[in-house]
Amino acid sequence: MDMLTKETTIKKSPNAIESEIDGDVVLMNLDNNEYYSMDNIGSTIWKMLEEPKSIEEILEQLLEKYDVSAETCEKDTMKFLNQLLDKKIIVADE
Amino acid sequence: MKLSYKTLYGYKIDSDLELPYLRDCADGFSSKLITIRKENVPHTLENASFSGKRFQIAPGQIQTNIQGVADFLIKQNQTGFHISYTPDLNSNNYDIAAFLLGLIMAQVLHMDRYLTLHAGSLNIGGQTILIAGNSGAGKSSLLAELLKRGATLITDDVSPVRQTDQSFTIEPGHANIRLWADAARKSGFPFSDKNRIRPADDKYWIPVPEKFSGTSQEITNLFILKNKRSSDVCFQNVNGIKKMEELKAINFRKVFIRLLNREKEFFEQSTKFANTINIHNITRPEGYYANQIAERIINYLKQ
Repeated sequence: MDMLTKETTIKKSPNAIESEIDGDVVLMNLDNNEYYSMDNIGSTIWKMLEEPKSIEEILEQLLEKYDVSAETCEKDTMKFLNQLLDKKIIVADE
Repeated sequence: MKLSYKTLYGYKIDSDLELPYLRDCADGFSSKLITIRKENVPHTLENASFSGKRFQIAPGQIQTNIQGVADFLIKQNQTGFHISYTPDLNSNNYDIAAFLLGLIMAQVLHMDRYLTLHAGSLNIGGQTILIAGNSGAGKSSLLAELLKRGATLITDDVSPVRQTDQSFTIEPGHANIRLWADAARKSGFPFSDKNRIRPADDKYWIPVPEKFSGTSQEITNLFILKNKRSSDVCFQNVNGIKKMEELKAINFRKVFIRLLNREKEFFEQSTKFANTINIHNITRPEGYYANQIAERIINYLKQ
């Protein structure tokens, strides 16, 4: 599966290990040893993925937490999650 | 016959090759033992997971070939490490000792799972700081200027970082700083030709025994001297994932993190470490600014 939809359930990849520096989530991809960091909202989304979640659920929780329109939230979140999928930091559940 | 041990980075060292710069080991000092012996080093390492031109790696073993100097083999054992070396024709003991104390000890530290940084370290006013920088960035000159201002030396060039509970400390090295002849004269510390490290280099081990501290305090700050030049001496704070990138860049002989499959461990160690320290990048104009940078660091640490 290579396209995410709101119905897709996603989870953290077992090949991503995580830590925090100065409050931000930092990740390492064990496949290629690259490092990534996440800003505040990215870190919030990442922390929601303690268990597999549908993107719909993630969007709902973000809208409760942040003062943002549903449209912007969905657009930005999908873009962010597609990047994570691309880097194989998250995987989509079949 | 009384055995006399030397010590380096917290190890007890029993060597048949003279390592004159190392400190004598205190009686009753108990720690991992490194034995160093002139022996036959096999050309091919069995069960090697990596075989390159200079290095071969097998579980618990690293073989290193330095042409014109020696072949070295490290074997991890129950009590610590055993290092064998076979000198090349026309090699000399100074060169062999220089490689043993540099590259080969770095391999031991990586095998022993230390976060091994290419940095000198000092105690100043109850805290420990690290000074890093590429060759030519002015690291040794800055160390010398800080020593003149009351700091004490823990390590000169390589700092093995150890985690104890929530704080990080450094395993002490030996009571010498390595300086090029020019910087050595500027430092004001006395030295002579017998302090030359290798016959071919104009570089010296400058003894600073009265400035040496065998114990580390908690590490609070890492200062990195950059090769980039600026119009003035400039300190810049490093935050977030940039701290990781800096720590990765100053890892000593970082190729061994990959060759020993320590990437995951390195990530975990350095993120923990990054959270406990401040990191500063320092740039400066061309010329001698070590005295000015030393003053800035001391004033910063007083705050």
